[in-house]
Amino acid sequence: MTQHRRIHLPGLVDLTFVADAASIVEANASAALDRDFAAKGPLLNRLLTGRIRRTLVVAGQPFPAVAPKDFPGRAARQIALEENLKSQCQAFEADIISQIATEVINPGRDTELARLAQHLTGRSFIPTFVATAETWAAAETLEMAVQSNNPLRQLASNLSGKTTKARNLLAGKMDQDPVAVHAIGIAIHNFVLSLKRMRMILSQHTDVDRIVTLSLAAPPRVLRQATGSGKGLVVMELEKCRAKTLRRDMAFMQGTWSSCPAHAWVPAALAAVAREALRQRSEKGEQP
Amino acid sequence: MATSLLDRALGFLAKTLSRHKAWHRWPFPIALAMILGHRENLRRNNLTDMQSAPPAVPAAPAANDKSFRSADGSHNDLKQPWMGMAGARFGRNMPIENVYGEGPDTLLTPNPRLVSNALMARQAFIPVPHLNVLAAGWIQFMVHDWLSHGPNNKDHTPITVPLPDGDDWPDPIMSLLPTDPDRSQPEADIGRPTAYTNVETSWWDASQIYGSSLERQLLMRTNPQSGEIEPTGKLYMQPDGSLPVEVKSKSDGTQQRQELTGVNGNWWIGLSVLHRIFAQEHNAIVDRLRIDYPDAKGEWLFQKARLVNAALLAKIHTVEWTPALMNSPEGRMAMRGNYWGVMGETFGRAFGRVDEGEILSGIPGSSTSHHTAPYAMTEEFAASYRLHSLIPDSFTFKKHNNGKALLTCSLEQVSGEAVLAIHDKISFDDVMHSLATSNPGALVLHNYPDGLRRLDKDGRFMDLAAVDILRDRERGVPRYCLFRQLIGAHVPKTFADLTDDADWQRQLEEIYGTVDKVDLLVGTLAESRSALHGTPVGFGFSDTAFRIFILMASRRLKSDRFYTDDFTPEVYTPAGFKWVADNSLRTVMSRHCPALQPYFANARSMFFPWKASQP
Repeated sequence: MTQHRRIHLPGLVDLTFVADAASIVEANASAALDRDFAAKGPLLNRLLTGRIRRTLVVAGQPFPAVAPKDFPGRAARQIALEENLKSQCQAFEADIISQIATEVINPGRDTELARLAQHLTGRSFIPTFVATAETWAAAETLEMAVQSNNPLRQLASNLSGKTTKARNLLAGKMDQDPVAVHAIGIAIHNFVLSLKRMRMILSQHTDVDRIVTLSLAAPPRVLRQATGSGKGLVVMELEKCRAKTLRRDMAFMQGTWSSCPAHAWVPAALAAVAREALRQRSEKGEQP
Repeated sequence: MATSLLDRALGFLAKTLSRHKAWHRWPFPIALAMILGHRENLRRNNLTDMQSAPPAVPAAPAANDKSFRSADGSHNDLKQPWMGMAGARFGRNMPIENVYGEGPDTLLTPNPRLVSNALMARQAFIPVPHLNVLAAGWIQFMVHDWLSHGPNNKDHTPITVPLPDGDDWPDPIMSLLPTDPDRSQPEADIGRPTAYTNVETSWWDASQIYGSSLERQLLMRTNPQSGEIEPTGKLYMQPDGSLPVEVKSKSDGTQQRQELTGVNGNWWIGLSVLHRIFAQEHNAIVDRLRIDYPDAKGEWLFQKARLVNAALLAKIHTVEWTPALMNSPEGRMAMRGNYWGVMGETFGRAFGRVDEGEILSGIPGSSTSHHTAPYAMTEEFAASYRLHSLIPDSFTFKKHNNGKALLTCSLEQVSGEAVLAIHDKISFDDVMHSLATSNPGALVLHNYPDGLRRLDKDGRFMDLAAVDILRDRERGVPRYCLFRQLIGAHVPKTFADLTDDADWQRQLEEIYGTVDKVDLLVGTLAESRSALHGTPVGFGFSDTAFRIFILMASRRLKSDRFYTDDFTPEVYTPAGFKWVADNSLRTVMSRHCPALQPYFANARSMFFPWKASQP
């Protein structure tokens, strides 16, 4: 195992950061770590887990990405979703892909790019879903509620009911399915970031596999909490690991119990966009 | 193990001060602190693991066998037993997104053969007066321990290098096969840069002597007459003390007789003498261990002697070879400090280690750490060790006791199976003394050996200088300027910024057009004449290569449990541990070439020229 960073101030915080592939795999496999996110441990740990418990939940059901390993039905739903998403990899809606590709090669309209990405993602769950400026704004609010380092902003968002409203809007569009709400409210941000990266990478590379691998954005941090009497949190820095290894499997924690069910769908969607973007660019007579 | 505050402070210091001037232009204590700081920064930013899935590992050895090195290098790291084993991938010293191999649009631009002809061809031999040819042999001896890409990719179409107009190349075309990539993980490697496997163990385990497989190791120990493994734990040597002979098949179907060692590719006389004395050294260690352990089995004696012999080689390289090539107060201190720490050898021998860290008492005996990536040799390290210009084109063998010339040979005449003919004609002591009193070539432009620029490989010619250039491009080693940028070194913006030599500036511009296109190898040779940012005074190699050396030379020790957690008298045996502490290349040479003692007795380093006899 290589070096780990740990921040430990008794009573205040106890976080261990792991960023190398072997340590992440080891942490994932460890029976001493899970996603219970119980209210325990030092102050900051409690704040972090409380945020997850309060925000990432629909109709009393935690989002799948923050549900404990043995949460009833979690594993079965994960397998079913993985199969469902895999089956869609060959049949993305051509016009949406084309619109996304156009936004990728014509930088400047970030919100439209994000809305289109959310549109594509949402329709993989509800075929009639239509992403709007409101649904994208709701996704941004939800992400801020979990990821922001600005406690005042978070507090304001929670007190004003903005976070709840955003979650309810997305849940309403997705038939109260926590899996789908997670996809268009939280995971979507990694997909959008991948598309933004692709803008730059398209100017340097023409190989689609390479473009996808270089563009792919993993979740920056994934948490695990010590089980039993343990009180610390382990922060798996997936994006750092992905950037250092360019391993797609690390971005999705593939092959582990917490594997992302979209591990085939996301690269396939990015590849479809990359191919279309290259085609559009070549039509315009541009070279990398 | 987290990075200490001191390490971070040194890293910050190096980064800040190097914006003003290179480390070697600061006073001694600051320069030394900057070297440590650069190493820290490189450890943090320049270690990249290319292994997408661990290779298959043989079964774990029995508990009491964990105090031996395995033949294939597995189980050195007991948690990740594949680390550093033969067949694991090369790592990188660059961020992974910067190591995609060059594509058809740039692979041959500028033409590697043109680079070879115009910038590398030896015009007149430029020697390094303060070194001897053993220094050149030694580094190849070490490289054979650490790495090899193995046979090329025969399934792929050869790369064809167009011949420049008027080229006198003897074949109608110049072509070579690409490096064989590791294709074992097609799914996990999608879109990633191509990775290559190291067919030798990456550890500093003397695998050039013992091989990187059990099969090869047993061959080294087997008496060819009886077919039996030497029961004493010794390596098999011929009755006259020479290495046994291996018959190898050449690609043209003929056979070649060559000395048998763990690795005997690219064989020449400089390798031959070093292999012989360290095979003899193994057997001397066995004799010593047997005194303390008269009932020990041959296998146990062999494995313990291997541990000791490997550690002695690592020590000689660290505190003798490298300081000879980095012949400045900072260079000497950096490498001796790597081994003994800033407290020094005398303090360490008298009082032992001060702490678990590496700065005060050196790396051997400190705690194991891989820093930010699993241990592996790297492509950039292999690229930095392209030191072929050290090899002379002509070798004169003389009687050691009267200086009478016996034979003058070309490089070809001291290579491959011709080595055995040299040993038939000239005594071992005369060969050793002749090499130790000749100078190697300097690592500068226009000093690449002619013999290597027209190398006859079983009837097909090869220009190794062009191959060196092409291999770096093929394997995605960044070109010189980007390479410097990614290791946190000054990046030249013009040819005048790269080298002070006006002729070289002009020649480089003619070939490359812009400085950012200069190949790594060419840049490192050109910076030999750059006072501000290039080769430090007294150094035999470039500052660029030095940055990779300080990272990897430390890592070879720091990652290996046999030099860290398990560098103890319990694992090595008290006699073996003392053997490592008490010996050096001087004592090894005294033991195996006693008649030569008067010639090296006054040499400050065994890699400096020995006393020559006048006819």
